[in-house]
Amino acid sequence: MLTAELTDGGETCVLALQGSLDGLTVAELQKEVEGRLGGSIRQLVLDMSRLEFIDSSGVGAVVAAFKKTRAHRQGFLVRNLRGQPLEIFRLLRLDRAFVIDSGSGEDDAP
Amino acid sequence: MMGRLRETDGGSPGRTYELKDVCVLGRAMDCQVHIRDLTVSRRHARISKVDGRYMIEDLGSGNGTYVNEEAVTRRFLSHSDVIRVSNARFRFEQLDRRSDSVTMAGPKESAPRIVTTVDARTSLLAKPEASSPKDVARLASRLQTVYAVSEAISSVLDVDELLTEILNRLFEVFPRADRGFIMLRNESGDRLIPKAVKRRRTGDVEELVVSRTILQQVLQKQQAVLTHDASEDSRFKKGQSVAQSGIRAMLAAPLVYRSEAVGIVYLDSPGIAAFQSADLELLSGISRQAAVALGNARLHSELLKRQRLERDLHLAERIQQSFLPRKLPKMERFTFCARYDPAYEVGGDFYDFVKLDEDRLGIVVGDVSGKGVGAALYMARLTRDLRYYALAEREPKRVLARLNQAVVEGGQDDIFVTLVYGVLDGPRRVLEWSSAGHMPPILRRRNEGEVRALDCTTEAGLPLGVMPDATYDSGLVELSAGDTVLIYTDGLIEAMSPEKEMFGQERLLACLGEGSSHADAVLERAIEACSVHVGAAPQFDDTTIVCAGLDYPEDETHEDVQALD
Repeated sequence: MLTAELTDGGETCVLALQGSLDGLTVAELQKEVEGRLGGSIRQLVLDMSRLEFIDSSGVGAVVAAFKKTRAHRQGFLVRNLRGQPLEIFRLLRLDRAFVIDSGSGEDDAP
Repeated sequence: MMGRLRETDGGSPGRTYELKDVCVLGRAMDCQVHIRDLTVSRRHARISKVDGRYMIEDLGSGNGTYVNEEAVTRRFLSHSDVIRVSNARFRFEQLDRRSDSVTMAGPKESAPRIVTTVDARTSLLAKPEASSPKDVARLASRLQTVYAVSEAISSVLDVDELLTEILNRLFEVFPRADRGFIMLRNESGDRLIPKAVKRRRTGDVEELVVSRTILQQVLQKQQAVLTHDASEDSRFKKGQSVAQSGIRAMLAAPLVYRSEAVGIVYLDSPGIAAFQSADLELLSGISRQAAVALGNARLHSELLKRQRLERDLHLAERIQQSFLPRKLPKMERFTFCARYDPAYEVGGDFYDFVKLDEDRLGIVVGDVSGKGVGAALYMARLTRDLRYYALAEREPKRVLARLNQAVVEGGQDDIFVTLVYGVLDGPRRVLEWSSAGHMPPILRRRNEGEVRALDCTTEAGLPLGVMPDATYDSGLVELSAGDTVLIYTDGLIEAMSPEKEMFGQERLLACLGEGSSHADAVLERAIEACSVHVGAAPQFDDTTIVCAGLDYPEDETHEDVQALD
């Protein structure tokens, strides 16, 4: 499940993910990201505080969101990663590619 | 039946092509419908006349053939169908059609007055008033009719053919019916699509206008309805052509399958009171049987589709297997073994051995994100690219950097690849390896009895395909006799027990430390320990393991070697 919220006077779009991000649920994220590319939004934030599970298709969708926002010169931030998704992101060294804020005050930015 | 194609989008909009018995669409000059577009296959699709109707078939084209934006392999065409071949669009026109277009009158229009309704869910036998011999005879006659129609249509398994057959039978049962059609709900259930239309009089091409209100009543209340006074309705008066045709009566019944109204059968006729209440009951009864036949035909079509898909999957599996090494490499003193176990028919895991020169061997184990055919196709491409860069570059980290660039430039945003690539130098007994976001190889030292995940001299690199300018580092390990290196994909350590507990790296390291250090034995132990952990729980991820072991010299005796014998 996914909710979208605009903040910073409409310049930041926060997509809050919930439950599982896997082969069955990535389409929703892909569609939402596509709709937020370009335009007036300057930063896309994926809030993962309520994301419990991610598989390789899910990571693929996050990586695709990162690449697409980059191509549109928009900022990209993954926020409040924890549990299994955090482990997966660390294992894949994705903290070296984009900013991951684990939500505990420490910033894993490269 | 005569037909033609009218080009609506493409090189020559407006151009028409009269359809002969066989007509091929494609890029080749000799195609009857010649399309100058490089994305169109040379022989892309064929339209041929089958039993008086036109059928379109995709001829294995690269970009597919679409009818009304639905990919088709083979399908009968109906008037106004839009055929798309790459960027070119054609409208199929049936020249001698009677009428196959149905228009629903807007909701503001007043609906014809309904004279009688019948609950379509009740059986013909449920009528309590069948008490006199005359009633019983009438009921028996109706049941006989329903049975005869049911028998005639039950063996038709093609949906299009079935709908035509249903209309044909209805015209026999209702000799006063002048026009009829069947509409079915689309897949999402929000629209009604006319699927079959029949007219008794030839040469009439009038559009058929029906009341949306009536259709809604039939579908929502699952009621069959009879009206007598369509011509008194202002909506029909506006449509001059309909008024001329002199509609006087109409019968409509829902097609109810598993308690759901999936479509509607409609008949109308000139002449006041052309239909009676008894006709409505009969139509309702026939429609019940027709809905069952339709359900069966759809199930049959689903089954065929699934069988095709399964055949394709088995083919994909065989093709993918052909990209994996057929035999294990040979190198003096070294033993290699590998295991590949996809969770589904095809998977995104892969491994390969690349002979770089007489002394050096490239070893790769990787995992393409996602599962199924998409990941497998990508894996096939990656195997080819990796072989190229492995031969072009000496250092593993350079191979990964160039491969990463190729993956990024491939333009598949949602695909990334993790892999370990190592170069084993036989005479020097050195393995130099690099990782792209992949688990590090595991080393089992014979002499020290130690098992550990190898450290990269620096950090493991990003998965391939994430950043265009990613760089990679290498690790180096010197091997001694009895040492074994195991490279694997995450399916091994993430395999779940029935209690949803992962196998994990700790268990893997523990099982590898025991027993023989021979490569075959190490690999078998890893598989055995994992399968004991998993038990009967289903597997969701591909698992690949490659093992390379440096054997003892033949003149040396070791308990390990003896144990194997």
